[in-house]
Amino acid sequence: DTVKPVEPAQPSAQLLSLRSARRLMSINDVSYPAPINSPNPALNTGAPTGKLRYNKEFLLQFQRAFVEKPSENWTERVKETVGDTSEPSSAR
Amino acid sequence: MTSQDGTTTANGAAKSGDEQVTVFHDPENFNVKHPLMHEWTLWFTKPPSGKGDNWNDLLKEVVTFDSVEEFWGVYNNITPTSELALKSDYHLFKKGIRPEWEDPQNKHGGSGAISSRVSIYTGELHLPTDALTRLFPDKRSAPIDELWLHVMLAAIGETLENNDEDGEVMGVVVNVRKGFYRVGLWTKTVGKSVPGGGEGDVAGGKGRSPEKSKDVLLGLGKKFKEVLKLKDAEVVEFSGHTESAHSGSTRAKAKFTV
Repeated sequence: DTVKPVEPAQPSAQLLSLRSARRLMSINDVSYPAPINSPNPALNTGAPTGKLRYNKEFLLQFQRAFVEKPSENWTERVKETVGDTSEPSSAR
Repeated sequence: MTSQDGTTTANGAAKSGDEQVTVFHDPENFNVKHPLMHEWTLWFTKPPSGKGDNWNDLLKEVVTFDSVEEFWGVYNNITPTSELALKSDYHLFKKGIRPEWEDPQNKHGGSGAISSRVSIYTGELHLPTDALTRLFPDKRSAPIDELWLHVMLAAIGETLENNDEDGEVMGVVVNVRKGFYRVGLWTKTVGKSVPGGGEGDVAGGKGRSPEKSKDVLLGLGKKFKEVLKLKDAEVVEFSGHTESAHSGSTRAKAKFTV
């Protein structure tokens, strides 16, 4: 019997990290590894704790850093909502 | 460099519980994420299948997220706008707000975050395919994907408004139509107080002067143009949704332009 029942997908290490990660409260707490640039500090001067704003250039750096599907049933979720299009494109 | 607890944070140092490890430091084992100021919900409008489609069946809630990391997880794994069928829309709205002109719940009193949403403004940009090519001459394919991405990043990064107190941004939308795309920005008010908007200096509140309301909306329109890389001469029109709904037209008369 080589036919295995379909098991629920296991969350990736990246998704598990996302689920257990704390919310960053202040952008000044982090020193980013090169070549990652910190967000524009002017955006967050005098901002309440945890109310962070981010410039486009900072946000774009995440495009290749977080590539995992955001949930185990994501493929089905996209099929149900956006529809049965071709394979969703992945980050290049 | 020394961290707060005195241990070195140079490469190879043991990770203490206090250390802030981002997805950039370790993509598979990070302990902090970058929170967004609001929770955002991505919606999708399916193209009508023929006759007898109910709008409620066509408007689908895809996912709600509240971190930069999760946004990219969604974006990297969903159909790009350039590959959607005609008459599709993506809507990215603050959580709790349905991307509809007249939320049926409002008519019957409603409650919570959406109860004050009576009239909605939109700044819409009509983008014929050839205009996109002109705006992105060096892009060989799908400039709409880049444009829509930048609009979403401005929304979730909260850089469309000067600060959160401005309170006008409800969401952004892209419509895929025959021969053009339309990118819209939905605001809470048309620059006036709204029923149930309260007394305060908030969007739709009685305490916000007409001058300030106008300043906020005009500033928003300017920023929107900037995000879309439009030249000053190109015009973004703001029009009232309530009016549109009554006239049955999606091209309501513009209230003002930016």
